[in-house]
Amino acid sequence: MPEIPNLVRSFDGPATRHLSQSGTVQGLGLVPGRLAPEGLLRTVCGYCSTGCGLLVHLQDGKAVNLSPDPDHPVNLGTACPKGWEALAPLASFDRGRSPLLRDPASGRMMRVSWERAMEVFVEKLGESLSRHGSDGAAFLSTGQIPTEEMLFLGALWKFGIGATAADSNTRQCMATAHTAYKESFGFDAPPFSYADFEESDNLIFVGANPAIAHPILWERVLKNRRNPTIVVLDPRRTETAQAATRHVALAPKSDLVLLYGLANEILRRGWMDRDFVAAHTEGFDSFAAFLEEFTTPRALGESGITEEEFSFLADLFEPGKRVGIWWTMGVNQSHQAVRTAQAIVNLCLMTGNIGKPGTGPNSITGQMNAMGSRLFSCTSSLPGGRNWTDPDHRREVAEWFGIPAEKIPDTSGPAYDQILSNARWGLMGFLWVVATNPAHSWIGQEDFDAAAKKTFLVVQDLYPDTETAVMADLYLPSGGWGEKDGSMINSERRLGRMRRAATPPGLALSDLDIFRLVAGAWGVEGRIGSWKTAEDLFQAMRDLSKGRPCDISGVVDLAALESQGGVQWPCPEGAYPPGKERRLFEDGRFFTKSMRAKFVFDPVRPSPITLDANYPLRLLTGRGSSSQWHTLTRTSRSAILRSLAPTDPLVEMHPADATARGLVPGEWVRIRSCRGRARARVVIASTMRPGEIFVPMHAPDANRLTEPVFDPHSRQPSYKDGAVQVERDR
Amino acid sequence: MKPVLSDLLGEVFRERDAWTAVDSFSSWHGEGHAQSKHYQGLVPLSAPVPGERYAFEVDLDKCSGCKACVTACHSLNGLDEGESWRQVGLLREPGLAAQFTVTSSCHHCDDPACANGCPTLSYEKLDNGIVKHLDDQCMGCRYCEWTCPYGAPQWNPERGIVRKCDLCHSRLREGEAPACVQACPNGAIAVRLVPKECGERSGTMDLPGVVDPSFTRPSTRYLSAHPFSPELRPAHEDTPRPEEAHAPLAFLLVATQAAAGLALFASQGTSAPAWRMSFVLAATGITVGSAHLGHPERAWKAVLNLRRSWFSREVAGFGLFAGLLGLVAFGTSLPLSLPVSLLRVVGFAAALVGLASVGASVMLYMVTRRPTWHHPSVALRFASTAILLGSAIGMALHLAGAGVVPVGAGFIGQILAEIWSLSGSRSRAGRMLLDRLRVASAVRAALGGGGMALMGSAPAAGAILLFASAFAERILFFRTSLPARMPGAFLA
Repeated sequence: MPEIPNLVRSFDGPATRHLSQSGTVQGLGLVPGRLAPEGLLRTVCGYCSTGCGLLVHLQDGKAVNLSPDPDHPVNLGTACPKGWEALAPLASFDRGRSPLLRDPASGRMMRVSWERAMEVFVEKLGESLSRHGSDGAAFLSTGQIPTEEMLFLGALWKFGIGATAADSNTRQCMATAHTAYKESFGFDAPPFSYADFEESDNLIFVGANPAIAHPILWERVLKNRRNPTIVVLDPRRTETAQAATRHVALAPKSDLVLLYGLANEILRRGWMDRDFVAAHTEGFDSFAAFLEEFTTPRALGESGITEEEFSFLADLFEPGKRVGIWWTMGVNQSHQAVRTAQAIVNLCLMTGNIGKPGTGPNSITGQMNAMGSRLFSCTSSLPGGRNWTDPDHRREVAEWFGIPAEKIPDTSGPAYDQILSNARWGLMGFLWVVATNPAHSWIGQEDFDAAAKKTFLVVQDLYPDTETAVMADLYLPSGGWGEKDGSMINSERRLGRMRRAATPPGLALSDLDIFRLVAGAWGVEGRIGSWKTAEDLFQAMRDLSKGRPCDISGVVDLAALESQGGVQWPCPEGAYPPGKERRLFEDGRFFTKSMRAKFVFDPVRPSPITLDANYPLRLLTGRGSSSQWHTLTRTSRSAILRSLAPTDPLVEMHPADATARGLVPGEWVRIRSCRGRARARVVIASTMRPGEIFVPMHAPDANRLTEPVFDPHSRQPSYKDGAVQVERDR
Repeated sequence: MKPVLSDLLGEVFRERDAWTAVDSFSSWHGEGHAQSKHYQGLVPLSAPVPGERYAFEVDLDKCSGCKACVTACHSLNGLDEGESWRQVGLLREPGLAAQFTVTSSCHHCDDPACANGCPTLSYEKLDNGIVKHLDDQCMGCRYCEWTCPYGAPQWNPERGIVRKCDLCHSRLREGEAPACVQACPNGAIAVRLVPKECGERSGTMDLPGVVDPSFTRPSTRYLSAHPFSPELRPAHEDTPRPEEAHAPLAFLLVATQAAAGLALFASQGTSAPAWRMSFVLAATGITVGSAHLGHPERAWKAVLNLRRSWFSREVAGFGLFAGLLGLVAFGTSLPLSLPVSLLRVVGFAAALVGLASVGASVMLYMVTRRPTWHHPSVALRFASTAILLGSAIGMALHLAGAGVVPVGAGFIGQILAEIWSLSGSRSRAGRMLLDRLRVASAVRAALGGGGMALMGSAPAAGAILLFASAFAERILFFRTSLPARMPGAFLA
């Protein structure tokens, strides 16, 4: 100890007290004293589909801090960096505070009143619909708003206004899983509960990187006490692949061949569950015949994996083992995505790995509320997961809304890419973008730019400076997560309640309130015109879900969701409160008319994108870090999240490819595709296979490089497949 | 339609603004610390007994690199925007695909270099092993950022002080886990009680690219079932970036070294202008140098740690140096009218104190573990600067003994020191001179060459250019210093 008397040392003072801690709410533990809450608010995170419970700390009526909910069944008291920083994007100084309208003379955005904004909105929308017909205006919405708002927007648009073109950015992430489940199971029904992560003997992750993309789900995997074998199928040696028992690095887009090959091998070994297949599935015989051409040599040849790896993968399906197969965007974003997802479904069906603990063909959702969008947004499905093509479904919906059934179109209308294409060719005059940023995220970015230039572009967002908002003709300032009430549905079908913790700044309004204004300005009446609160909409969701697989009529109100830490669907009347962790299909009864699951399959098609001398490298894109969310519109507003991500755009490349180009680590390079170019700094990493590069999707230019290729069934873009060249940039 | 819309707008905004947070209050509460059920086994059940201390334990195999610990530290400790006391980096093996993410914070060393070097005694080593920073004692000199080989102390420019991890001391006192321990989804971070004296190495810190643990005896233990390959390197090494320029400190060093060199030449004669110039250089250097403090009003505390800190010794030395120079420079003209013979003795003493203080400056940098500083070239660099500028200014002032020979020797010495300091394993830093710092390097070379060319014809102009060149050189000395640190991330 120093001999200098402590007289001249300040052990206390304002700086020390600034960090003092105190405990004010029982059970919360110590928190910063100056941010000590007098109350808490329980809510669910608004970033990804994990659906973590969060406690917002309220002091003097303001949200001052946040911590994960220790009692929430999903996240068990933890959160990823984005969750911890969920309040930061709300407090950002650059929030939109007023509607803005582009002044035709100066081309600048000028502040206008809501009255004026709505006048222009209605005028431009009306013009466009009368000139081009009901497909002449479209909205592109999101998986980032509560289900209540999705239902409001969809119903307002399609049943109130009578427009027919609408899609959501869930087209970019979950359309494939939606289509695959619907065809195979008769309903878009992810069968699992997160508890299944902990109950498996063998977990296979296909095109999924949960350690980075869903850190809290990865936590659940690591809580598995059965000493599981964890296998990752991914061209890249991702963070998850490194933490897994085994990584099998297959060639990009070879997953379908490999999965069919594995199915064939399992058949050969006689490891199928004949009883289950006979009792609960249909189409197996033709599937078995189809599989014959998928010999092991073919699977090995096309996927580039070794015989030993193949045999290791097949061994995982040994009868008696609980196998759970989990997939994310590596599968969903592909030119034959739906069939790939269904190949996973087929593997589980033929081995009876469904409806039992630790099993299942399990799609991990991307966005917070993609499932809400899939079931209630009136884009790809009618509310309650009903089909546009089914006259009975249309009639049920029409009756509830009190409108003639003929007013409900018999198709879901044009998909995202078709909407943009219509706009580009002058078949559409009005585009309303809600809580999404396609000018950054849409595949082959300039397709969106071209479409936006041909339409009157309305952008409804938290910030007027997103890549899309700066192109807008009319900007509507909206409230974000934390500024509104409602519910969301996570990957395991759990409805969670999101609570309002703050008031939107300036003249910003929640999306729900903006929809009310649009409804009022257009003169929409009836049920839609009477909606005022999230609770009103939740009641509508209850009604519309009645008798459907996603029946939630047993949840009497939003408050009943909160008290249970969320409720998984189904929860029909009388089933409340349900168990905390439930999986589907335990009785082997599926949602098809025959109540049997279907084997769905198709011949394998090669990727339409071919490499050549000009573009010799395969481009892969994906999530870059746990602190970045999609196009960074929110996470870039948090200093601490910024500090956790690379400061410049990166491209990962195998040492052999870097050496061939004389590149050193950190060097700036130019990446070219036939569509465009991007600059990035090179990371030399053996986690890549030779001949392939990886560009995180968070880089604003990543989608200058991608090529618009879509799955024919889900129309989901194939983001993880491009042909590029990389050159020094000096 | 319009009046309807106005009514509706009124209603919407009335409802929006009538809401209060109390409407949303949850009745949630828990027993004890509700989170504790998730961190059982990760914190000790009791407080340390005498002979025991707290220590972090990190299981590298459990860390998935999610960085929740970083944000939890920020939020649960109420830190300022962007501030966290925990960091997550990466160890990579370029040849193979293996990598480890490494979470780190303060290692609460048994021989903390931050405390040893802190001139103001702003660090307290507690009995339970925690190294606590005294935020109200700190004058914001940032020296601990250099002395700590792990990058634990964090500069907070708004508050003008450094802050760092206190192992959530107050939480441990209540039986709660530190923020990072609570937040880790995979239980990778724990706090353990370990015996206080367990030889040279209290923790296991043999991480690639990290300084030898015998330097500060860190207490953190890193566990992994996988042995580290010798090829494993911290990811941040791939992309070294220039450090801060610290212009006030660069000026302080150059001016005090020029003053000491000039005093050396002046002490052989009685040239009042030379003494006065030396005094002005030293005084300006000290004044400008103190401008970098976050809390200049606490500058007087800088001499509290003479016993262990070269920073305190440098401050005391240059303070005395300037005082003695003042006496010699102005001793005859003041009412004192001191005898010249006495002033010669004082001048001689001043020169000695000046050189000793330059020595303290050398040590101040050499005791850090920054590779380009923890190196004898610093001594050659500073001594050469003193000789070069002392003789060059001496030539301009027509001082006997100051001539082209010492100027040339100093010039060559300085160049040799620069090359030496950036050679070998430190060439990563040197490459920045040709890359991101190439403009500054060119300016520095032009000033030096120009200064030398002018020394024959216009020594005053030459000395000014050489001074400017030395200042530029010193800025590069700071900018090319590679920090000793825990593994960082690629470009993060």
